[in-house]
Formats: sequence, C-alpha cells, structure tokens
Amino acid sequence: MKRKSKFPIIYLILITLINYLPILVVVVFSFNSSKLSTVWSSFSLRWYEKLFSNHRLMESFFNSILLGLASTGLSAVIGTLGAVGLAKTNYRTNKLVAYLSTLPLMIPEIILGMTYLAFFSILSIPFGFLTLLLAHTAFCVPYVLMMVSARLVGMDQSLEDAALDLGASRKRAFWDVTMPMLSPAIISGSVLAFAMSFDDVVISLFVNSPYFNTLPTRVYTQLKTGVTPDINALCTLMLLFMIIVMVFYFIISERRKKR
Amino acid sequence: MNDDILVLSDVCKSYDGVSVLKHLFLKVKEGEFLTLLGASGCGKTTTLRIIAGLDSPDSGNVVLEGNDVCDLEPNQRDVNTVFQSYALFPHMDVEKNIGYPLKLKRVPRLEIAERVNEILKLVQLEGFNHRRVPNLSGGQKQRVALARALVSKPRILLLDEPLGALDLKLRRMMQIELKRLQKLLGLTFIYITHDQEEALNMSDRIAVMNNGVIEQIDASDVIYNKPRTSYVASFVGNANIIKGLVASVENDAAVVKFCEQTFLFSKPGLKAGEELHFALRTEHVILNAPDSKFHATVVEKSFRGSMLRIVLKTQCNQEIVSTNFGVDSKLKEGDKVLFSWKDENIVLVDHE
Amino acid sequence: MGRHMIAGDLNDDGTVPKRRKTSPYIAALIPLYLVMILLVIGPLVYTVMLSFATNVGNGGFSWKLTVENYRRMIDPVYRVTFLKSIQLAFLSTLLISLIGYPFGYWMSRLSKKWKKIMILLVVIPFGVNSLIRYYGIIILLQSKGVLNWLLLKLHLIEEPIKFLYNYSTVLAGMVYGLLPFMILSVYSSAEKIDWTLVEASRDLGATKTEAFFSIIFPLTIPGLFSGVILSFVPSMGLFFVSEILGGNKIVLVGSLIQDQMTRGGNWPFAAAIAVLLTIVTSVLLIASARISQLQGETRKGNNLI
Repeated sequence: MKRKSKFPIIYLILITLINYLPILVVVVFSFNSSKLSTVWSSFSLRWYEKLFSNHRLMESFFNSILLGLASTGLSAVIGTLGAVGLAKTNYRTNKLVAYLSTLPLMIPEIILGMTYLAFFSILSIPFGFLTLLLAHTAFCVPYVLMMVSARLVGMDQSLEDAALDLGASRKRAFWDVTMPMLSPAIISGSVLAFAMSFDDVVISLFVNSPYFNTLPTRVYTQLKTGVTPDINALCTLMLLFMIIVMVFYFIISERRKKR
Repeated sequence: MNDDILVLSDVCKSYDGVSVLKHLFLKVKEGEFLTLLGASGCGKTTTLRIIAGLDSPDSGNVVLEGNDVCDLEPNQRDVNTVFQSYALFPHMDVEKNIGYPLKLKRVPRLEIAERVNEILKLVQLEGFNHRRVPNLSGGQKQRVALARALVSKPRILLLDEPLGALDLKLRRMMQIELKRLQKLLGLTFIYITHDQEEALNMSDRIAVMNNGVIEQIDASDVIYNKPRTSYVASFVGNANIIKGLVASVENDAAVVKFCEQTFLFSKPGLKAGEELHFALRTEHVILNAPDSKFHATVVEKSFRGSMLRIVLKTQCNQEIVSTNFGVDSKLKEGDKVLFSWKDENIVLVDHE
Repeated sequence: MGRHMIAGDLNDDGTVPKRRKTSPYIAALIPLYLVMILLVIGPLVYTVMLSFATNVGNGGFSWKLTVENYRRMIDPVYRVTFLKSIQLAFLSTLLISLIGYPFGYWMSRLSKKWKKIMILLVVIPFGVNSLIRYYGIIILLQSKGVLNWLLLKLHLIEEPIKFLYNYSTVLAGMVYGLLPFMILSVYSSAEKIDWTLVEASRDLGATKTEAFFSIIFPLTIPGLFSGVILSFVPSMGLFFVSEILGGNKIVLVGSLIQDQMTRGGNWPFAAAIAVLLTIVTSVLLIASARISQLQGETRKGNNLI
C-alpha cells in the first residue's frame, strides 16, 4: 500500500503562512482607527484619507515609480543589446565583460552604495535623480542581461538563419524573429529589475539627496523616527495592486493554455 | 552558356583552426536532384551553409548563375533552405510562416494569401493556415518548412537532412513526395543526407563527401556500381574491400594475389609488386560454387530484414560479408566455406 | 596533416584572401561597455585607491598613500564586528538553505496549477516594500504586540516576552527577507529535472532516499548554489535589518561602513572595510562554488560506479 505523505503539503502551507503573517498584520492595522500600532481600537478608513493628503509620502511614492521605470527602461535596452552583442560576437573579452557587468549583483549592496557615493562625489555629479538613476541602472542591467543571455543560449540559431535565408536583412531578421523570441526574457528581466529598483533601500540611501526621496528611503527614515499608519495604508494598496496584476496574469496564462 | 546553375571552386573553410572544407569543387546542373552524401562531420552541412550564404568561405568562389555571390548576404541570394530542425517560427502560425518570405518581398497581401493557399495545396496541407506551429506533427512541420522555402520560387532549394527526425514509414513517403515536387517544379534540389539508401532513392547525381572533399560525384547507379575510392565503396552499400598484390603482369591483365590464392584482373598499365584495392559488393559474394577457391570460416549468420547476412573470416584474417535475398542456407557458424566472385563484379578503387 | 599545412601556408601568404565580415553587432555592445567602465570598473577601482588614501578628518582625505586604514581593522572593536557579520551571514544562509531547499523542492513536485499558485504566493510579498514587512514583524513581536497579546490571552505566559532587539530576531529577520530567493532558485532547478531519471534509479533498485541523494540532489546543486549567493551576498550588507530589528544593539559591518560614510566620518577607512569585505565574500563564494562543484563531480563519479 503506497500512500503519499502529507508532510510536504503541511510544510508548504506553514511556511507560506509565516511568510504572510507580517504582511497580514500591516494590512489589518491599516484599518485601525488608533494611531498606535499596538492596540486595535476600531475599524476606520482614516489612514487612507490621510495617505492622499500626505504629500511627502505620495511624492516619494511617485519618485520611486519614476526612478523604477527610468532605470528599468534604460537597463532593458542596454541589457538586451549587450546580451545580443555578446552572443553574436566572438571577442576574447566577452566572458570578462559578461562577468564584470553582472558584478553589481555579486557585491553586497552596502559596498556598491558606498562606492557610488565616493565615486559620484569625486566626479561632482549632483546627488539626486541622476545619481539614483545611474546607481539603479548599474544593478538593473544584470537582471536583463542574464535573462536575455539565458534565452539566447536556448534559442535555435537556425530560426534566424531561416529568416535570412528567406530574404530578410539582418536587421529585419532581428526584429521579426529574434526580438519576439526574446521578449518574454526581456519582460521578465525588466519586471525583476523594476521590483529591485522599487524596493532598494541600501544603495538609494547613499546616493539620494534630501530633496529627492524614494519610497523605501522615506519609510526607512520613518522607521527610525516614528511610523504613521498611512504607510500601512499605502502598502495595503500596493499589495492589492500586486495581487490584481498577478491574478490577472494567472488567468490569462491559464486561458491561453486552454486555447 | 553551360547548364551549371551553381559552381563552387576551391572552397576552403575552417572553424577554430580545424579545416572543414579542403579545396572543394562542385558543379550543380540546372534542374537536377543532387545529393551530398557523407558521414557526420564530413563538411556537407558547411557546404550547404556556404551556398546559402549563412557562412562565408575562407577562400574560393561561389558562382550562382554566372555571378560570384560570395559577398552577398543570404537574403540577397535566390537560394532557400529547408533546415534540419525545420526552423519554423514558433510565434507565427502556418500561414504567417509561409507568407514570411513574400511579405519581405512586399508582395501585396491578397497575393500572399493566394500563393500560400496554392503552395499549401501542393504540399497537401490545405486548410492548415491558422494552425500554430507547436501543434503540428513532425511530418506536417516538414511540409510547412518545405512550403515556406518554395513559396518565393527560389532558383535552388537546399535541404539539410530534412527527413532525419521522421520515422521510417513517413520518411519513405516523404522521399517520394520530395522527388515528385522536384520533378513537378523542375527545380534544382541540393539535398544533404548521411543515409545512402535515401540518396540512392531520390538523386539524379550523388556527391560522396569525406573529410572536407568530394570523393566522387556521379549518377546514382555509377556511384553504386563503379565506386572510385574505397571510401565510396564502403560508405555506399557497405562493400567489402579486398586488398591484393600484383604478382605478375601478362599482356593487359594482372595476376593478383589475395589470401594465398590468385585471380586475374584485366587492366592495362599495372606493375608487378603494386598493391591494389578492390570493392566487392556483399550481394556479389558467391559461396561454395564449383569454381570457388578462397577459403574462409563462417563466423556469424543473421537476418537483416529479408536479407540473409553471413560474415566470413578468410585465412588471412580478413572479414568478408555476404548478403542474399530470401534464401536460407544450411551454413552455420564454424563451417568452412569456399567463396568467389564474378570478374565483372569486382571494381578497382583508390585507397587513401 | 599535409593538407592542413597547405591550407595554413596559403592563408599566411595572403595569396588566398580570407573573407571576414566585421560584425554588425559591435555597436550593440557599446552601451554595455559604457555601463561596465563607468558604473562597475571605475567606482570599484576608485574605491580601492581610496582605501589607501589618508584621512584628514571631517570627511576629507588626501592622496598620501598609506596602509593605516587596513591596519586599523585589526583593532578588536572592528575585528569583532567583522567576524560577527560574517557569522551572521553564514548562519542566515545556512538557515535559509535548510528551510528554503525543501520548500522549493516540494513546490516543484506539485501539480502544474498549484505550482503556478505557489509561485504567485512566493512572489506577491515582493510587491510590499521589504521595510514595511519588517515593520509588520515589529508590530507582531513587540512587547505589546500581537503575539504577546495572543499568548497572554491564552494564559500561556504571565508576562510579555521580549522577542525583539536581540541576535536571534536579527537572524530571523535576515531569513525572513531572503528566503524567497532561495526558494525560487531551488525550485527552478528542481523543476527542470527529468523525472524519468528518478524513475530509472528507482527501477534499478534505489530507495526513495537513495534516489533523492544520487539523482535529485546533485541535479539541484546549481539552484542551491545560486540561492546561496542570493542570500549570502545581501546578508553581509543588510544593515537596516539589524537597525530595525536589533535596535542598534548589534553593530554589523554594514552599519560601520554607513556610519563612516555619512556622518562626516572616515571615507578611506570605509573604503578599506569595503575592499576587505568584498575580498572575504568572494573568497567564501569561490570556495563554496568549488565545494558544490566537487560534490557534483564525486556524486557523478559514484553514479558511474
């Protein structure tokens, strides 16, 4: 008699629950009328109202979005071009370039942050959006580069050959065949890059300016000085957005499979 | 004006210092079905890629219809390829795949649709227009790849082991199909395979490649019956290679010594003491006939399909394979036999 | 051999010109080269240089070369901080592997639909700012927090327990924050395993455990290893975790660097710490790469026998 053990399922559920517990607490307390995060008094939406009048928090939120989109866009282009260039050329330096370009992921963030602080000040680049963009691009490029490179390795070279053979110029073959094949990798690399940029605290703390805060650096200062529950509200909304996007994606991919 | 549509002369190609093509010469006639036959690594795919323009030769010339095309990109050559992996674009449906070369030529949309339907009919895939590539069977993919390569009416169609991934039955069917299409369209086909049977079934001419050069290029029956080198003889039809020594020369014939015995071989210009190689087809080995004189022992007996295959070992320790259709023999392993052949069935070949 | 020689001679003579097209893809590499030079090599080289500069106080420094910055690391205060950080990173990586590996592996054994759902469940928390998640932990664990309230209500404890602001909370925080990376990388390599290999080994007489250790584990080592990188490297530098959950009682090397860099401190010294930390991290990573490689190889060898 063979029976499947229940233990793995229990384990998966348990760890997932623990993983969600702190988030759940944040969500619950965003509906708490009290300012204190220790006592539950009553249900209220006042922190959601407060959130939209908290200009500094909203500003840092939009700053983060802007910075995330800019650095993701930049690294999507650089990373994709780079991956294609590395795959299609045969220089002896290619291996070294690939290694050095992904180095920002291999170095602890704290070191990257201090390095950029020191380097940008000696170049006297004014701290603010530009320095954040440069630093974020540096650690976003590797995500796209690695994803696209992996995809290129697995890609059938004869597809591009076929397009050339059937009369496409190199440029045309790239846009008609290679790009559509790479797009899932570019998208997943970009999504990853955006998530990393949007969530980055350590590097941003080093290269931001008092006039340009990102959401994580704003939260960081608040955690040290005192948290107001409108942050809970903001995070609940972000979580909601994330869940909607994910569920949407899930449904679409399920439907596509059935077709 | 001669009828050579494609001429490769003195083509060399090496990858990372390993030379794959060594001064290759090849002339292809307009409208013929030419097969490049050879074991893997002999350079046949490289030759094809050079013709298509996907690789450029290190040296030498590729002349297509009288024009040197060496510096032309693949898209500038009127040559299309059916790839071994089919290379169908997975993100396009059947119609988009086939219509792709026409779209590149800016053929109007309506005409594209018309020509796609036409070619789908030709490859017997009517109504498959909007099927997705991953949902096609191997044989269907094969036909789509063929249709895509044919739709823009190239001057030459290159086929890189297109039937390799199909099962035996389907492969036989597609062989007939391909030959039919080629005759119907009157198109020049250059076909690559390592399967000698496939080559013999379909080709007008066969070029046997070995180690980066063409060892022999001739009509199929000549390749089979009159191989020029020992490689061709053993690769096409697995002939026995018999090594003999010219003992003496009388008039235009030589007395050749083989396995303690001698036989006569007529050819002018042979010298005594010369070492010769002969090809002897397995089906031409005669066992225990009245005039058989070479001694051997049966070491293996087996059936290959409808063919009886007997492996002999001669006195001088050489293996000789004999095959026979449908006739069982009383011989068993360990039996002593005498064997021989008819004079006209032995072919002198070059040996490297 | 002879033919090779001829071909070679011809090419060397130049009698037969070699056709070589310059690759049109060089241009595609230019932006990557720029990023690499300006944002990787430049800053890192500069930091190494900086680590040999002389501190003149108030965040200033002069280019008088010295090894003083490195010598200072031997001071017990800094040495202890350094070792403690490595210890913490090591411990959290170990815990993350122990918890994350089975999670990722079992996840890969679920049905297709549940796999997808589990991936979503693992990924969704990334939508919440990681600092906020730590804030959630504080709400949960503080002395007047949810957990203590619950335990008191159930009469399991008499007095609130001090969960926060000690070494184990920081450790737990690290594990909590970095676990998803391990799960996802183990999952992605376990998911690719050709299950017929396992069936073959079972068929050849392996028990379930033997099949796991001879087939599955060796094949998931690359996933485990990238998980180790993804957790070890950040855990060396996540100073905010110890600041938030450790209440500044546990000083890690990350906080040390941040202090030196931001509060008008000693930049050359910070650079020296950074260089040393990078070296230590790389050495440890290379060593673990070697070990996992060796493991894979000996296992392969064992399988052959």
